[in-house]
Amino acid sequence: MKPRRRRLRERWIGAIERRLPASLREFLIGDLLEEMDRRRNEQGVWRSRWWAFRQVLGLVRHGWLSGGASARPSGRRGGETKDRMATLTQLGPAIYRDLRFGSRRLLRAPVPSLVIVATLAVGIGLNSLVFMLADSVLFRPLPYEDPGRLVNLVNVDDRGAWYGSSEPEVLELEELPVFESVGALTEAAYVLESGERTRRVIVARANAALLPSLGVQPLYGRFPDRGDDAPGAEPVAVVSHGFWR
Amino acid sequence: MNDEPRLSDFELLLVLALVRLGSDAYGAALAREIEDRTQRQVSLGAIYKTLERMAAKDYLSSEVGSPLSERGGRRRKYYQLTAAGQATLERSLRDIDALRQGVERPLPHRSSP
Repeated sequence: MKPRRRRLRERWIGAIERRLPASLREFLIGDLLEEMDRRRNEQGVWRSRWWAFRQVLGLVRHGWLSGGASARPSGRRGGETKDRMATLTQLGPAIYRDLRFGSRRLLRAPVPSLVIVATLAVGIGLNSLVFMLADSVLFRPLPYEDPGRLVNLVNVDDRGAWYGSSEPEVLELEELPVFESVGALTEAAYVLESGERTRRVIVARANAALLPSLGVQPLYGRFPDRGDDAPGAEPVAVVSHGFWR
Repeated sequence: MNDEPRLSDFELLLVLALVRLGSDAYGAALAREIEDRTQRQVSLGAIYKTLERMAAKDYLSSEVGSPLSERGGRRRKYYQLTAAGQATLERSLRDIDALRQGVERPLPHRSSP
């Protein structure tokens, strides 16, 4: 046997051995190794492996893989461990029986089984979609430098409807000492004409402080500065990477 | 009515294999013997579960052999039938013999209803 394969075998044999009761582990593992070698010589590697796999299933089914509780030291904690292991011992065969029973029932009635599996698949898919949306909208932080320090200010009227601030109100907010900077924007959809092609684009009219407030940097050129906010200044545009490409 | 204990189906198979193997009856050899003779696949887990159960009922005794290199230095546990085990086996075989009387083999062919 190749050294790598031998190491792998020793590893899984060791993992099983540790979980067997101390009183039998030497004899059970010895039998397993002896029989695997015999079968490999007589029937080939794969049949020997298949046999070994079935033996491990048999050990689970008959409740042998209990975690080697009897090898643990006695005493209060040891006793608790033993109790837990005893529960696990009963659990192994029970799970095995349940799986066998379930598989038999599924195979006996394939059409209802397929309907059930398809329903489950759709249900799990929808659930994943909802969780994905909730994660991106509610839980994942905004992709800005310091999202915890960003606040969104809106006005609310008597009926609970939101409305925007006027330019003088934004100037007043800038004067307040609580904000490091105040970015303001209003969004609108425009039609961009390029030769014969037209395209609908979302445009935000913003003050110079908006993009620095979000902590983003321009890839090329510069962001608008205070001078660009002044009345009569030349209009300045910033295009997104997606629009540019 | 005789209510003395009998062997279950699998116990009977195992004890018969044990008798056949004599002094060389350990887990893997018993599994092999049953498989070769009956073409039934049995797991070591089932074999040892049954062996230990029968040992607890005093039907079997056991002794441990020497370490063997082909088992990675591990020893074999050899099982023998005790007097109590032998008596139970006798009873179980007697039941089978009694029921078999008058049943000719091969069994007559019966068409399914």
